[in-house]
Amino acid sequence: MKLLLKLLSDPECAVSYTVEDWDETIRFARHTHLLGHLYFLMERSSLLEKIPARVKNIMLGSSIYNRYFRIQARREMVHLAKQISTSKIPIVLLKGGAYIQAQLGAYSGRRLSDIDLLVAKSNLSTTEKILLSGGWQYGEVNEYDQHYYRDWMHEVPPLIHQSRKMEVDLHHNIVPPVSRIKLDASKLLEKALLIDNSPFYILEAKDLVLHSATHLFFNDELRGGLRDLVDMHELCMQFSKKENFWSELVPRARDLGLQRPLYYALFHLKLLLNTPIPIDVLSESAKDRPNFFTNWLMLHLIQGLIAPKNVENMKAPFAEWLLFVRSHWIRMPLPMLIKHLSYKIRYNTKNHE
Amino acid sequence: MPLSVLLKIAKTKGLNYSIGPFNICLKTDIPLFLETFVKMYASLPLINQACISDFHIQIKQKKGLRRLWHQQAVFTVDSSEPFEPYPYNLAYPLAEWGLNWCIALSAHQNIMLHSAVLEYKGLTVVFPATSGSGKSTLCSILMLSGWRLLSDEFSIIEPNSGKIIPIPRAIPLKNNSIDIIKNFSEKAILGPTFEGTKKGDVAHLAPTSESFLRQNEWGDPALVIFPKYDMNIRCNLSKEDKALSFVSATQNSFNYHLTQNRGYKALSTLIQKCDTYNLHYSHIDDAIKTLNQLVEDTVDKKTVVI
Repeated sequence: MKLLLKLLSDPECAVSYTVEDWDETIRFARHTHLLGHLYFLMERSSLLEKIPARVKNIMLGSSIYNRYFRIQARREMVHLAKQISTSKIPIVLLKGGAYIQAQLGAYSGRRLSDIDLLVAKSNLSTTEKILLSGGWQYGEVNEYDQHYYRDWMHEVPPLIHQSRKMEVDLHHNIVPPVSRIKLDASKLLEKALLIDNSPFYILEAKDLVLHSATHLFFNDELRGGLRDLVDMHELCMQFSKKENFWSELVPRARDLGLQRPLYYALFHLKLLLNTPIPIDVLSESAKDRPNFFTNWLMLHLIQGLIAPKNVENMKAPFAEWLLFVRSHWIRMPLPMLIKHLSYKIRYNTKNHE
Repeated sequence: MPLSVLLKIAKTKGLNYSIGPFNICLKTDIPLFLETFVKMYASLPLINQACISDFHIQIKQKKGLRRLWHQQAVFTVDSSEPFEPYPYNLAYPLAEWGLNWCIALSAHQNIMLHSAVLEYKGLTVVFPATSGSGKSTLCSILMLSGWRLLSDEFSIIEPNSGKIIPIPRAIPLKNNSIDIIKNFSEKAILGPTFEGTKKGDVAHLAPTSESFLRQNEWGDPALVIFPKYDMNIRCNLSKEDKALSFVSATQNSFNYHLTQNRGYKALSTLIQKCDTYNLHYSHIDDAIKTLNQLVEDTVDKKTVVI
């Protein structure tokens, strides 16, 4: 994994990689869905002709695959823009969709499978109606799922366009309203900026990083993995030239209640990708770490999942399970959690039979 | 190399070999699987020095107590297990199918067709077909009659040159085809028959050693022929419209939609430069005769032009 991490933070070292180095790097990169991103990095640094042809081909295959999904996503955003154009509701694109539309970070190596939107809660039902009337429909959701999304989650059930099959997730917050973190989404919307030549908004620079961190570290089993961390790395590199980006990052996180995920993000960005984060920002953010034992355990689990060391066994099922439990613990109060898990167990057993 | 030595390597650092454009590192602890594998790929040299593998594949016995009374085989590629475990004795078809899956899902630098490709008298012929069209049987008989096999069901176009990269693999024969091929030639090297798979009985036919030895010689396609087996029809060969051929080729491709303009360029070039035909047949002997004749005529025509 060290070799892949080194390549992600310093693409130039590609020229010194041996055959054995590449063999290992490719395996880790495929596992972490970063082959397409590596192609982009090599292209950006004009290194494509300096690496073995086989390596270039493997990366190219993945890059072509990712590009197809980006084209689909762009097309979906054109349709969404058309559909919402008359409504005047400000709609914020989140994550991959936002990076593509605003051409941020390493958007051109990235794959994305859905479009995430954020609107004010007061505009949620209107936006939903507008999308439903434009041919977007709910995927397979039963009554319980509807209740789960509507009452507990920060999004409506996934919407899928009947002919284009791309998933659109409509959010009114970036954390569930029932979770332990109480986040006032209007603070995010206030600062959102209109994207040039687009009807959509994007979160302000610091909030973009904070959202990515929250998404990664509060998600079940850290699903986005190293790829999300790479997103943050690229964003930070781009924003570090911005005035006040670093100095205001930790205060903004505390204001939103997202200081813990920011701490995990900055710690791992520095450790794994050697992101040039100012020392005082790191030490300020470190004040937000949990108690010694929790911190030790979390860092251990996180690294086991997003940066596995053994190429023969990149899975960490126990860490995955613990983090899964943790993510639910954060997201739901205990009685709700018991209710939810017991339903899921019954539902899964029934479907298994 | 004796099987016991091979098995030792396969259990530890793995067997490295190239099949067409791909380097594979294969690990296994199933002797029965390895025996069939060696029979199918006997002429394929192992790579002894360090190499970059496109895929690290494992086909191993499922761990856990259950194996004491119910053995299963598991296919792993780079730490992920994309399929449910298979019955232990079906490890070989699982591995072949698994490798297809790996290539189809990731090698988008090429344009991939669900087609057989063979070469005769220096002429490369593409046979796009859907399963059940008799393609594997036709392809096997052509190969056993002296054609070079470039691929049986998985053909790969290199989009910049428009050439076909050979990828000789064991040909999976189904049901009646198994006996047809057994009876056709003594030279046919067949693996064990796997009974009761999803596709019925399956046995694999090994590619000829020529197919392996020349696997790095890319083919420049000259003919595209759409075969169709129909027991109620007399053998006939007819020119196929180019526009229709193009549409059929796109439908035959695994990744035409995904590769966008690269795929469009590759397939339109293929159809433009090749003569395209439909071949309907009920007796395989007639089909072979017709195809041999067609290739000879085309070669003659080309020589005159030069």
